[in-house]
Amino acid sequence: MRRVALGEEDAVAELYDRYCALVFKLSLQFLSNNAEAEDAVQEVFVRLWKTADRFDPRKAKLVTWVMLITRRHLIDRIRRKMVRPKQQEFTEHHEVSATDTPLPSNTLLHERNALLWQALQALPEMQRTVIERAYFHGFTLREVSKQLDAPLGTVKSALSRGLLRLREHKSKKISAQL
Amino acid sequence: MTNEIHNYKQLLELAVLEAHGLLEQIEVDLFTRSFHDAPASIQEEIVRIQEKFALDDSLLPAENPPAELRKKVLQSIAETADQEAQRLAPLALIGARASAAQAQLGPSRSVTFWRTAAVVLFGVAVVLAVISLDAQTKANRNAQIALNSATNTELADMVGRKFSEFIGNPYCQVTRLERESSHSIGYLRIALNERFGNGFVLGIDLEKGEEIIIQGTTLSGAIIELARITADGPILGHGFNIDQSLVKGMTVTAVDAKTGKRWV
Repeated sequence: MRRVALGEEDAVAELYDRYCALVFKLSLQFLSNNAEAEDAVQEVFVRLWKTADRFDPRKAKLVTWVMLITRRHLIDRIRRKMVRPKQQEFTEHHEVSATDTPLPSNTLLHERNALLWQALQALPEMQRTVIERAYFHGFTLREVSKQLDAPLGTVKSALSRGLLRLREHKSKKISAQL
Repeated sequence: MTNEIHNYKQLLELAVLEAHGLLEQIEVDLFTRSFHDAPASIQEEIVRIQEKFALDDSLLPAENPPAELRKKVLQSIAETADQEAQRLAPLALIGARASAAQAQLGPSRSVTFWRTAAVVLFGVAVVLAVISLDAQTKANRNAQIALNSATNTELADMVGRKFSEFIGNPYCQVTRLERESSHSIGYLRIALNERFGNGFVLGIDLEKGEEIIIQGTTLSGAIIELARITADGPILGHGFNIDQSLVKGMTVTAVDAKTGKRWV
């Protein structure tokens, strides 16, 4: 990343070769079509180039940093572009209902993310709802906390546990620690 | 549940949320601080967990990016780099352009003229300062001489012309005495002429009727009364004679004849 920060073309190309697949797949998971995903990939790598000097190898692995920047970018993009349900729509329903699944109804997106949807449906209602709202609709945790009339700490815990359980089949150890 | 476990659990919880980009900036800062404060083993664990999340593509779509995307991405970065360079160029060139222009043209005639004028004016200012300082010193010295001369003349008028023989006389040994234990002002100046064996005592700010004995202690330790004066006013002058052979190395003191108080 030091070389990327210095603007070395080879380093930028190397970074792309190593992480483009992950960045692209994650973008596809969030966005409704390939063109949008490709735009997002370009923006993410520009963002990585611009923020390369902030990467601290003592705090995170390079792949963690790349995916963190990608996720933040995608969430920002969703917040900017996606038409979000009106605040009132959520605040009127204090209790989380099983029908409250505001995920985009794009068929292709559903097909692509079939595994994810399956895993989401298996989660307890609260965990599923906070993941959908915070992760896929781009609401901040405070907004979700307000919408669900639940303490911020509860929302954070539910979100963290939900994300861990989504990957439970691979990381049972981590789940047990929490 | 101990606090330590609670903090540890919270830290892991935040690590998961941070890895997913779900924390607000203020929470990211708090998490970063907690991370740096945490023991190395916990830091390693957090790094490992976050890396695992980052690498996990099990729930991601299986499609791979098209080959042409690479070119687009690299081109996009190159364009951004160019834009950044253009945006920053004017700032970087402000000093560089001015200095390059100056280097090309060389110093103009007017610049040379003003530089020379400045150097000459500086030199003139220094010379004037030195002359002024010298004149001031001379003036002070003259004023001091005049003042001393006037004072001496006035004193001579008051205490007798003999006083003048002892002022500035290189053969005179002069001793100044003040009261040893008194808040009263006043002092005595006693001049002993080593060559001609005479002396003069000048008293300033004496009390009226005050009687003072001037004594001399010779090198052999003998104490000799040199003079006895009685003040009839604040200023008094009195000449006296002394054996010339005793003067050299003599220590002069004085004592109040009535109270025995010493002048030292």
